[in-house]
Amino acid sequence: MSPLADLPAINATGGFSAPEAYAWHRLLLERSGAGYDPRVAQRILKGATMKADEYLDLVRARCAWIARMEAALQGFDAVLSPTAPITAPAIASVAPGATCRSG
Amino acid sequence: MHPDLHAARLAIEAGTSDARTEIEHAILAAQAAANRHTFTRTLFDEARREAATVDRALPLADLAFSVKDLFDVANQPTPAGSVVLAHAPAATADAPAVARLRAAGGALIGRTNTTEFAFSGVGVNPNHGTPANASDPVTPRIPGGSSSGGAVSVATGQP
Repeated sequence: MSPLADLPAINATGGFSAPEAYAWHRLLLERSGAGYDPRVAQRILKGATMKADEYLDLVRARCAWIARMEAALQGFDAVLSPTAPITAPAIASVAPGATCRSG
Repeated sequence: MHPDLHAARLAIEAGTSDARTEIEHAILAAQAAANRHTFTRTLFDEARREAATVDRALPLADLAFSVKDLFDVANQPTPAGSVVLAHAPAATADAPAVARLRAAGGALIGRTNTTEFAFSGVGVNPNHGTPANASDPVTPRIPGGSSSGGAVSVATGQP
């Protein structure tokens, strides 16, 4: 399943989620940015700096990646995998001091 | 762990359980410590009313269900785990999936937690708290996301 290893490089400029999210959120971010989870706001804002050529490259890269995946999946009826390659980390290690704003 | 929906429905049909019992089981499970932070909003009284008046012939009659905070529920805002949309205009209609579950007789007991705007696979939510992964009762671990609340509710055996 080697095409899976290509995904981080393909998504390095933010992937599709960032520009699509920024297009929807930009006015709300201007008005209420302080109310966002800062980690989420940071991901959305990646979409603000993506260049048009990077977006077009991404569209082409997705198309080529789909073709590689379809070739890799030839002959299989189903592919099973764990949802994540690691044991779930402790909440305290990924969100120190921010488990709940409202208590 | 509480029986799954199919087993609960069979028990109701066999007369060994009833709507009131099933809904109260679901509400107790939703209020259990393992489900702290599973819901962004609960609708227990509404669910009790829906279950009390439902047409018993429907396939999900007497059973509780929950939906992710991303789904439109008529007359409620759809905040998607955020606070910035907590007071957004209410949805004018149920999302198709919600409408179908209700039409099948299910009683909506709440909206489940999600990463804010579903924008992360980690499942942390500083607005509503992060539901802890059900696999480790000792160390609170990330539930994964974005459907953090839905995953934890299923893993702890509630609707």
